[in-house]
Amino acid sequence: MHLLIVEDETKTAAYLRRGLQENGFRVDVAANGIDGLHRALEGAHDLIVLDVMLPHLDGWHVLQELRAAERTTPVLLLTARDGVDDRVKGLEGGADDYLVKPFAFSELLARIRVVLRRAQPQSEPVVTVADLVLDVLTRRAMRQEARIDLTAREFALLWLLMRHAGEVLSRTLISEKVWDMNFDGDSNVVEVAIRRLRRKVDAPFDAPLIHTVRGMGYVLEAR
Amino acid sequence: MFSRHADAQRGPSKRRGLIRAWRSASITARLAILYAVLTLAILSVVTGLLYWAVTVSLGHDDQRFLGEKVHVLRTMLAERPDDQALLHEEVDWETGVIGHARYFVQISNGQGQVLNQTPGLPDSGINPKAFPAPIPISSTRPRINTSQTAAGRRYLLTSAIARTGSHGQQRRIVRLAVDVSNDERILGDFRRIAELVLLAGVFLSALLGAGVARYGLRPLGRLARTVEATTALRLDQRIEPGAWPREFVPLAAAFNQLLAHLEEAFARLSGYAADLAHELRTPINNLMGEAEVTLARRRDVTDYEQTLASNLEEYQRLARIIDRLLFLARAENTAVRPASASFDAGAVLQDVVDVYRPTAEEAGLTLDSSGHAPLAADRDLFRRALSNLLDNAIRHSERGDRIGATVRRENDGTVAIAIADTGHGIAADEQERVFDRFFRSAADRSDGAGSGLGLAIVQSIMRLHGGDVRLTSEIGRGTTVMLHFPPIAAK
Repeated sequence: MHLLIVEDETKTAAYLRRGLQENGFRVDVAANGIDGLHRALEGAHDLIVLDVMLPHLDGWHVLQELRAAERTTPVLLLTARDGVDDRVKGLEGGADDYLVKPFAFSELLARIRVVLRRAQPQSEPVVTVADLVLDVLTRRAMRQEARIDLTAREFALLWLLMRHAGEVLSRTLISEKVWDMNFDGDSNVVEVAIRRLRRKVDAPFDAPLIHTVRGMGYVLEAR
Repeated sequence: MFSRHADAQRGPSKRRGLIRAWRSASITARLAILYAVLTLAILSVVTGLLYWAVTVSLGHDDQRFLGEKVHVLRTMLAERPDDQALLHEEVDWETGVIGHARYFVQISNGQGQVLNQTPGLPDSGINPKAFPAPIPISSTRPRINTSQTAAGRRYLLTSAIARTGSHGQQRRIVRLAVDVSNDERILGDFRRIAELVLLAGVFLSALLGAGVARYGLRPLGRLARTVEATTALRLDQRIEPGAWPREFVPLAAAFNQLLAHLEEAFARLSGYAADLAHELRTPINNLMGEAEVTLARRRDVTDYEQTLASNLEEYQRLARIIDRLLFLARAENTAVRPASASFDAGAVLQDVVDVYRPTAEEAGLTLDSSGHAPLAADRDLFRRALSNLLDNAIRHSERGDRIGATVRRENDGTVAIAIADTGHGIAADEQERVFDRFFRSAADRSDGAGSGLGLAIVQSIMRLHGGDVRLTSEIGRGTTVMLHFPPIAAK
């Protein structure tokens, strides 16, 4: 997968490039809007990470020009302002998602993958990770032939983790996808839910699948 | 978009421009113009009335004079028919006043033959046909015609029938002409003087008006200087309300109020900046310390990982603070209006309570919700407020405590949501500060939980909806937070 990052902050651009390369992406970097637009129009990128505040030509205009040129390359906007206007403006302007600075890198990675996957056909109704099987149609979870009883929320959480097996998902992303809300307080809603899920999915079995990545979030994978 | 707007504005006529010019004109100029217009109006009416009175009075004089002369000539012709000398004197000499004939007399017999006349009459240019028909002997009220001669003089003409002879058997026709050119001259003079008076009056009153206005507005200048000095000095200064004309007292009071608000806002802002700095100090201190200690000597990879992970937690703390502060800043910008959707507040409450139920159960608490009420509000913000309150309630309760969340629609249409816990409670002296940014109770501070922004965010959300939030609490008995959304129609 080939990404283009349009970001004028050198340090930000550098760690984004490094982080994304280490996650298997090919990465181009442009340091201003004009250069970014030029590269976006020239190259065949799978996704563009576009900062809104750019010298010469801001992100809004880059996006506008890009869409005017009938390029449908997915765009993920990075904004410094958490304004509702910015969100609406971005999504109406043809952006596929947006992130507000400061953001967690794991968050960005997860969102990039979600956007990239969106372009691909719908995922299979049955997901398997190691000996854990989840059937979305019958809403049934099985591990080593044993049926696991899950509440609706637990099912949604497990499905999210399994679809993104091997990817670290941040608490913010999880709460947004599973509960459709952001928690203000240092609420432990996500922790409690993960703990309960572990009791059902991991505790009765030998090898745990759900792992905590300190400071980043949770990942489901066979280790 | 913008230019289209400007085009639409161009439509309304010049009138609006004039009105705007008048509104922005100086008070002195406005008063001067108003005085001038008023003076013009009053003087016009007064001089007009005077002119009319003089005209009427002059007319009366001339009429009476003609009436008297008709009477005198009739009497002379009737009583002294033979006294030609007297008649001569009356006709020839009485008329010759100051240089030119003031009036002319002509006496003719019934056949139109002139018997006597003032010598100047034929040369005066009066058209004999201009005389009115003679009034009968029984009438004393003269019929009057006017005649304008080629020489530019104006005459009043009348004629009357008279009797003469020893038995009054002979008919005579008396014709009289009075020169009223003088009247015209007097009226002309009057008009010229009136014009002068009007002009001078308008000019003077505008001048005096400007002076009076300037004098009258002097306290305004004084007030402006005082205000300038006050604001330039310090915000805790106030304008003395007593020393001003009565009209300025409300203004001075309003200004003082504004100053009070500003002072309060400034105090809050600087307190807030201090709190913010303090709040940022802790995570940054942790970050610096950890990085320094870690770098001080070589370590194995696990140690570095530990440090970086710990750093990440601090960064997340910073990011959360920024995120919430941005939310508060945006909510305080009154230009932001919350999205409004209609939903059942009870259902949303139930939903959020369900999210927190596992957490509550783990903490050994019972958590219930009840009630229904239709609500028009921003659903996401409503959920955010509820989740903040439930989070607080859970954190400030002990195993075995109960948390109840209820929705109720009051009789006046207000939707009231109560989150009541039987937890620790808040000390009375801390209760009024719980909505302040970064405020945390003594217990909270020691265990380092929470950001101190949760209730501030709840309050912001309620203000955005035109509602309010109230808190009652008792140490050891628990806390109840009430949210009130105004009736839908009242918004």
